[in-house]
Amino acid sequence: MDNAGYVAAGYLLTAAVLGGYVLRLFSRARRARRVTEAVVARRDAGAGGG
Amino acid sequence: MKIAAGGERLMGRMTARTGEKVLGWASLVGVAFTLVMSLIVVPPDASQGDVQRLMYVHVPAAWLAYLSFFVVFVASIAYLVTRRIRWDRLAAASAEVGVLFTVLTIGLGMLWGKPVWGAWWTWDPRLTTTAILLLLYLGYLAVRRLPESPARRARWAAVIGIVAFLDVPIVQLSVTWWRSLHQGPTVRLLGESTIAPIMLTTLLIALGAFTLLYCYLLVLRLRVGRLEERAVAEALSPRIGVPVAEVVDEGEEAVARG
Repeated sequence: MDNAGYVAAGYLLTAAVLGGYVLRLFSRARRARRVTEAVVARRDAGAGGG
Repeated sequence: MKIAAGGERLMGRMTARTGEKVLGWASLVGVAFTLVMSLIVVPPDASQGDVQRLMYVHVPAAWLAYLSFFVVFVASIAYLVTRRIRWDRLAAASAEVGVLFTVLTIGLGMLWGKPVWGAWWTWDPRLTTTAILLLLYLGYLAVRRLPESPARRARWAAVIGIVAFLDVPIVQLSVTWWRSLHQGPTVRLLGESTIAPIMLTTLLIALGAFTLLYCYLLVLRLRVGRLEERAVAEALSPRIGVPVAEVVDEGEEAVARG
C-alpha cells in the first residue's frame, strides 16, 4: 500500500495547525503590546500638554 | 485550598519568561526527535503500511485534547471554589489549546480513515462523540466571548467546563461500549499491549514531546491573555479612575465581588 501522500499531508497539517497557532499567539502578543504602548504614549502626551 | 495555592505557585514558575523559553526549546527538540523516530526509524506497519505512521501524531493529539479538557475541568472547579480569576484564565487558555488539538485529531483521523476505511468520515461512535466534544468546547469558547460581566461569564464558563468534560470518558470508552469501526485500545496500562515495542517506544516519545508542546502553548497563551488584559486595562484606567495595576491585579477581587 503506498499511502505516503496521506502521511505527508498529516504531518504537514500538524505543522501548519500548531505552527500557525504559535505565530498567531506571537502576533496577538505584539498587537497587545503595541496597543498598551500607544495608550500610554497618548496619555503621557496629554498629561505633558497640560 | 492548599492544593489550589500550590497549583498557583507552579503556574507562576512555569509562566516566567525563562520557563517559557526552556519549554519552547524542549518541545521543539522533542517534536524533531519524534519526526525522526516516526518517519525514519520505525518500520511501516505489516497490514496498514506507511499510513500507520499517522498514529504517532494522531494519538498524541487526542491525548493532549483529553489533557487540555481535564485542565479546564480542574481549573473550573478551582475557580468556583476560590473565585480567583487566574483559574478562569487557565481554563480559557487550556480550552483554546484543547480545541486546536481536537481539530487536529479529527483531521488526522480523516487522513487515516480514507485509505484504511475507504471514507473520510463515518458516523462511528468514536468519531461522533469526538465531534460532539469539539462542538461542546467551541460552545465553551463562544460563551467566553459573551458581553457579560466578567464574574458571571467566568461562572457560566466554569459550569460548562465541568459539564462538558463528561464527554471525555465517553469518547475514550466509546470503542468498548459500542460496536465501532475505530480500532480499540492497543496500549494498556493493565495487561499486555498489542503493539510492537519499537512502535510503543516511538509513541511514548511522541506523547512526551506533544505534552511539552501543550505546556509551552498553554504558557504562551496565558502570557498573551495577560498582555491583552493589560492593554484593555490601560485603555480603561483613565476612564474609570483606577490605576492600571489595580485593574489588572485586583481584577480578581472585583470578579469575586461580582
